[in-house]
Amino acid sequence: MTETRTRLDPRIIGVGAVSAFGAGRAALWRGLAEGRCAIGPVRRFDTAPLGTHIAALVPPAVLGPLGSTAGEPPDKEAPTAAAVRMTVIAAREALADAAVPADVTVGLVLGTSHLEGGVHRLARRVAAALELTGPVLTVSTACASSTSALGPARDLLRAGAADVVLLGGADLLTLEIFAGFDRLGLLCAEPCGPFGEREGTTLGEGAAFVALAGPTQAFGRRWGTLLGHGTANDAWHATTPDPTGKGLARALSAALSDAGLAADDVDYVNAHGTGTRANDASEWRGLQRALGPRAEAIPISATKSILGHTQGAAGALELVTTLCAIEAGTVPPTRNHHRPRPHAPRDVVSGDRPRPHPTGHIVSCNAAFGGVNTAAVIAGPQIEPPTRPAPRRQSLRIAGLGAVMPGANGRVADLDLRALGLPARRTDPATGFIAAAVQRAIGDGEIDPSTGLFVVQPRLSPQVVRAFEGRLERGLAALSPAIFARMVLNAGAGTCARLFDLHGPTSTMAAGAAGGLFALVHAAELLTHDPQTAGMLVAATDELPEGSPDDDDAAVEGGAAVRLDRHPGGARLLAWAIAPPGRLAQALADVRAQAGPAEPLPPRRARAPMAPLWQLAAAAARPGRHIIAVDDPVGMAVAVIIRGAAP
Amino acid sequence: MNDALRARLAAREALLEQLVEVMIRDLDLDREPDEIDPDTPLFATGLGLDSVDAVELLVMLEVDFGVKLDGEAEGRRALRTVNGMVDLILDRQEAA
Repeated sequence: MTETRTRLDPRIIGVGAVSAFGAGRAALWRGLAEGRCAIGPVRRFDTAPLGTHIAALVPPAVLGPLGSTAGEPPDKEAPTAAAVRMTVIAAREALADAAVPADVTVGLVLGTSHLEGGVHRLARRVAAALELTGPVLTVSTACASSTSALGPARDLLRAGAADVVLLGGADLLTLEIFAGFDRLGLLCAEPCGPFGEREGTTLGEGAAFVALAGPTQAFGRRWGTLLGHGTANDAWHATTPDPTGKGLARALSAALSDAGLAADDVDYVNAHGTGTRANDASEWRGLQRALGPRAEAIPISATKSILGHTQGAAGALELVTTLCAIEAGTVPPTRNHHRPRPHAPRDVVSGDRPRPHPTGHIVSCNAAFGGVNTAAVIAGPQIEPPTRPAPRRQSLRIAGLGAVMPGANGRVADLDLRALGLPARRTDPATGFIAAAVQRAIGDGEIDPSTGLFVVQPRLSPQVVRAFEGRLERGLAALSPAIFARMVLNAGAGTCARLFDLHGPTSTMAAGAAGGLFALVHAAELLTHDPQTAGMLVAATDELPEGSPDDDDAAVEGGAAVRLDRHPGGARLLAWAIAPPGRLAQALADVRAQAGPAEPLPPRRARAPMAPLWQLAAAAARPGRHIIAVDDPVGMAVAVIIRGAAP
Repeated sequence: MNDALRARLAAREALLEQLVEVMIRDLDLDREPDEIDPDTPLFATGLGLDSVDAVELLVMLEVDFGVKLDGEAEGRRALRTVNGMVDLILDRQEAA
């Protein structure tokens, strides 16, 4: 391609929210503007055995029947039904706000830790309820999920796989999550006061969406523009952030450079600000590292003091909250912040009500278990977004491949982690599969610490879920921090980041057949746009539950990993494309237009995300051009062209 | 050996067995029960347990054996070896 293309920076053309203030962004903004706090006593479940009794819960009238009615057995489907209900309300509001015409292809990228009932069931049910025809993806990096999800959402727009992407987060507060945080000692007895005297967080729940579209769409409102996105892994600890704040600083610096902005351009920071001692201290250090003196000069607020910590929804809900405040010419307050802790931000927006403040560029940060740090840079509605040239796509080197293959029955029989020098204790099979695959993909080669890792895993390790349920049967007190920390989908990515010293971009996606190839495309787009990251690893895994039928020949477990970098030579990734589910022909035409004719390899029956990567690994050793393609009817269609090289 | 002493020893043996079993399960130890010497130090050079295991042991003592540790010194003493934990549980049972 010779013509200069314009870089697509997604416009935010609609917003929607369900929060503890009720359904709708109007309820959210009213609560904020009137200086109210949405945190109150928990009535949904019995907190008597625990040390904390408050949370920010969505009103029962919005969620529908949930929790235990006296005498009735708990309905196992009720939490998912309630999560679907609030997520649909928020997503529908964002679509309506954007006035999206009926014939437009709308995709969905959902950040959540709600993974019950198989591969991204919540996202699929929401997509079905809204009759969406675009790609569907779930991103699950615990409390940073919906900010992590901004990257994949932007890639779908850039790939032309959707005209509009509903980007959001949703999480319901369950007794298990409440008890887990309680056992970790992270909860505050009173409503939390981030960066202030009160230590500990307050949990919440909710759903929030922004509708994103390219600049050429003629409909929608003008809420802002996503200019920059960055992520980084601490590679430090499973649940505690790196106290030096280096991980958050890397994520924020990456987001600023992605946005083409300097620290002095930032007018306001919406902090993750959970209220815990470890988070707030590390976050402030990270902000100081990335913003320098500017960090002392601008207002910073943490709305978890009002809406609670809504887990996977936090990033999206805080973004919507911020956009609503900015529309009113203000920034949101931080409640319960009376006296600052030592080493707290200079200007925490304290008090109960929004503070008038002219805001051009916004930074929003979120962090999570598994060492995840995420940051977004957004231009407010007053700023005319810059027109920038898109970086030219270059082919990438397939620098390493790794696989953990199943036997004829679809199961991995003998993976001796100890013999590989990998830790075997508390390593569930799924994590073992990706660790061994990543180790092989790295090989003897040096790995630059700026290297990142994207993981695709359709579900939590069944072994971990079983262990967790076994603990629950012994009572809430048996939910130890170690078992709780493993109940997040990105625990495996966190483990690998620590094992292999991967401090670069990080994400974990819950997806089926198309997930592995999508993660590869996501990594390729990142390397195209971000010169600071030397290379990327992409790993996919699935672990079969015990006792699942052996005669299902599409059911396989194992791991696959691909390492990409910009060096010359070797096998190469030449082209990549994404299309809505069921429209593989579009993706094939797109990759052929980029890299010339090539024939697709015969499709595999497997539903697992690593299967296409195994196919890619085999093709990479055969000279010639090969298309690897997959069409997941409940995800998306993805196609890539590689050029093989004899090993 | 009188009957009371014999019963006491049998009870101690049973408790030891149960404790080792729960440890293997909860700490995800890749060992057989007879490979765990009750006098081997749990941490560092011995069984090689870490700070995450220490928390798991506290949870296990509380949930499965009804023993809540009050002070740090008491915890450090009891959590030195498997036998140390058995003694602590027996002490608490007798005190109750």
